Amino acid sequence: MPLAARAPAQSGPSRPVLRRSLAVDLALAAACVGLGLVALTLGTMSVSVADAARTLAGEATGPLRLVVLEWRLPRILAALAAGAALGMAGALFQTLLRNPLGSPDVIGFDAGAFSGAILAMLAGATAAIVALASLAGGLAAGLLVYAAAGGSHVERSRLILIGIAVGVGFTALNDWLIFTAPLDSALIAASWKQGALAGVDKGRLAIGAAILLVLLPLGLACRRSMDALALGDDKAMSLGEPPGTARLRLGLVGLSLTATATLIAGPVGFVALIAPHAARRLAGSAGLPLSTSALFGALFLLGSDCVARTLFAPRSLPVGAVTACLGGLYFVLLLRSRLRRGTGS
Amino acid sequence: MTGRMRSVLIAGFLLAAAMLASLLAGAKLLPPSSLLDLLQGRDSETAVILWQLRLPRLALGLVVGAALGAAGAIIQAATRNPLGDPGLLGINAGASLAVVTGSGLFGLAPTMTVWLASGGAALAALAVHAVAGAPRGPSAPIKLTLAGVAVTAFCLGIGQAIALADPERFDLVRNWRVGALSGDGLALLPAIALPLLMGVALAALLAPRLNLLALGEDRAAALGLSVGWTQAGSLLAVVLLAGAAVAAAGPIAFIGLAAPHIARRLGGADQRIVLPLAALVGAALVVVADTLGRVVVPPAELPVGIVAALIGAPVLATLARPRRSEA
Amino acid sequence: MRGKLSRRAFAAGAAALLGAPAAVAAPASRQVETSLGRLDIPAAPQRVVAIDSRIGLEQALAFDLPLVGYSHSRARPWVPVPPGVPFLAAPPDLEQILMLAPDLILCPDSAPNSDWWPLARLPAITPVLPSDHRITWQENLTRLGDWLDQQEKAARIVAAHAKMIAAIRQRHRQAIASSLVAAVHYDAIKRRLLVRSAGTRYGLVMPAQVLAELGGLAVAAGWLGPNGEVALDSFGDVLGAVDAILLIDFGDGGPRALAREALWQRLPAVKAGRVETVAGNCTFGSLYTARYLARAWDALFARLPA
Repeated sequence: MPLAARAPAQSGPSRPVLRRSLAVDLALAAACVGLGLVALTLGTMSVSVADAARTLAGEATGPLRLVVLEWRLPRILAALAAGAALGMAGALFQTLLRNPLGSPDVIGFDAGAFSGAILAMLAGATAAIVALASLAGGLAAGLLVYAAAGGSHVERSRLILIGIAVGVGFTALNDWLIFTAPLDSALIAASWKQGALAGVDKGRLAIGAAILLVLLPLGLACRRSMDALALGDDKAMSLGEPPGTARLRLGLVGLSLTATATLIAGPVGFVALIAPHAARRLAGSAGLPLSTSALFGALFLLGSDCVARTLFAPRSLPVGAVTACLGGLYFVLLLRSRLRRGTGS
Repeated sequence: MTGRMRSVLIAGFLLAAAMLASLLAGAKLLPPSSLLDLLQGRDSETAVILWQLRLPRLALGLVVGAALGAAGAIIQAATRNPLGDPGLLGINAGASLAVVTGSGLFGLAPTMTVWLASGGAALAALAVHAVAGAPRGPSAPIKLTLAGVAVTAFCLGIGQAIALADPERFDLVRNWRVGALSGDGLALLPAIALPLLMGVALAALLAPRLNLLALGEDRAAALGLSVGWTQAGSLLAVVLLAGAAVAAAGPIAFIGLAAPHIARRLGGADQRIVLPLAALVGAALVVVADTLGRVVVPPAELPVGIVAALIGAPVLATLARPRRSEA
Repeated sequence: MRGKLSRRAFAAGAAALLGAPAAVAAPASRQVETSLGRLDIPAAPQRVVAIDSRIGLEQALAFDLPLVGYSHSRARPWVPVPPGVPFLAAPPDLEQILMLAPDLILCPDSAPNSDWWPLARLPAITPVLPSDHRITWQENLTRLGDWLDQQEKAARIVAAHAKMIAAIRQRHRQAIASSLVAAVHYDAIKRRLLVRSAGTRYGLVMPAQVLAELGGLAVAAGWLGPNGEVALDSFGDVLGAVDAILLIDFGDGGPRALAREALWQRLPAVKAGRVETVAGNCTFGSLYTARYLARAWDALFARLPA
């Protein structure tokens, strides 16, 4: 299992590892801010970094303010928020399922959340209701997987397969809903489905960001449960972490993070899949680091969106297409390095 | 044995019923008596509908379904992976991406894109195998499936980026993402005939060897089977069959997954029986899915790929549930 | 991307960004009442962007508005766009539009939050006047004429068109009154006809509007799918009683593919040679498309016995 998460040898990382991961987190956060500033300058209208910074400080008016604050900033914030949520959700689920490919986009929880969101949107609901529906859809997908598997005692690999099945079902349902929707709703739903950072809905972004302010700290607090689970069920129990409860906590937080990211950006693939791997390599940690995954996810989605905006400018690509291409490239690199190490058969 | 005969008979009866429904159902429902027009060679409107639309579409559905069913059966036997399906393993997506590129970027005709589709299918199959880390043992099917899902997403992403770079041109290859049988069967069937026949011939040659392989690679090798060549031949057969299916109808998942399982329940474990039976069941499944897609939202059509996914998802979930012996 | 902007537009945009006074003296403004609320629009707009190449572009040309760009799709050959007016990014790029420094934007209200017709986001740039594809082109034109204080010009255009329609009605009185007709476009990939001579979910499409002006008899919408679609199987049922067909050629090989279909060739109207092909996508539009279609219907009715 060359790609699999290695279990930590002891509880709690060593001090040098801790120091390194802190440094990596700081560097990633700085990169997010830096790329965010650069992203503020990208677009048809040329804006210098200095102008962008000045505008952020509230010292600009007119077109500059409109472009930087009203149009580009929400898009950048949406990419950062959704990316962070997806990165952390990926780390949670990959730990929970003990499989490097067991991320919420592969097993279709984002498709479930999106089903809820577009059903509400087609019914003409407000942004708050759409947010609730998105959470409900994600939870429904999770429950469906859980129920179809017949409880949590089932092997994780089977859970993943059932997740794939549920995801495929929800994706087909989404295709059907978009296919039969009236033209105007279908147009919006279709572009949202492909990663709708371009026309990000400010109402949805605000609600999503508010939810994330609660969820991201909750996710970070899952660290203890993750470490305990990594030591095995018996050890976890003796550490005062009943494994069932710990899994439920990880699953619920992960699902909510996925649903919130979907609410903001649509079902964007590959972020949750690759962020934890990249984060672990950077941080050099044994398990999947939560904060680093979130920060890398944010950076990755923002970077992808910058590519999506500039590659065929002024026509903008759906960000999901770019994350899929870049994520695929990362896969190939992962593969090559593994072959070079000679662990591949 | 009589129980088996009975279930094969039931399967045959269901296939016949599905074919009949496919001929009569659609935007315009035809009465069963209209089939008499067909037999009497009358030049009525219903006869034209049957000859020009329903029969070619039925033939296309049967051929595509049979190709997918056989491809799934070969994958499942050659890799001993009960979750083998050209859709789940990214093979269809690779073929589809090749079709988009070929017909969209270079304006190739279907007779050419079918070979391109097979090439894309082969690349995707190898990529999935490599991404999954060339797995062995009981966890291999799951790793392969996960890698297949990831590679599918990757191919769709690239395809979308290519298609959106020039939407007007790529509007012409609209069903590359979701499979549909709305194309002109009369034009498509001749275009895919050659790779399809090659795939079928290869499958016939492979069937007895796949029986040996079922004993395990070591024992098969001890019995004189060249395991490597058998698996390479299987890969070739699969990409020819899946490539032809995708070139004609776009990617359709789950048919290749479900058909062999049903075929094994009906016909036992002998691949010389399972392969043709899986083709038959696959044909029936595609025809049923396509017929359903034509009647649920009339007069519009739900593409067969969406219906197959809606039907197939529970099948996968059932196969993945515990109490089965494959793990 | 930046290279794609013309130097002149860039300079104009830059000037606007710097708050430099425009070359022309600041025009007086007018207050108008639209579905977007009360707005101030320039009394004599200097830089107009039409978001949609169908309705907005034709309307802008009708009122001689100084266009600086349009989006959605390339202007149809029958729409007289001045040579210097660029086709912008499609779907529209808000920044590109902003840099053109328009003082008036025309945009349909079809889907205000969509990428294609971002009516909800455009007012941040400059005043926007909406059009509505659910009402007739004359009503749209008259409404815009009111907003622009060009009522007389709007009335003149509507009257000229009415005169043209009256002449056609006069010529083909008998055929128009007694024949059932259809305007169709063929989607060769889905193998379906899309009827454009009766009400569909797309609103009041132009072939249907002009046929209604002529007083012609169209295939009832009840026979059709929500988007006006007819599957090949239903050709006989829906179009069997039709006397003549206006076949709209989008330039995508539709008519050629259609000619290969036996169920099309069996239709009485096709057998009798009463099919008039009209080149170009004329589903939506305004006065120019209406004029173009009036000629097309005229030619079709000429194929029918008087």
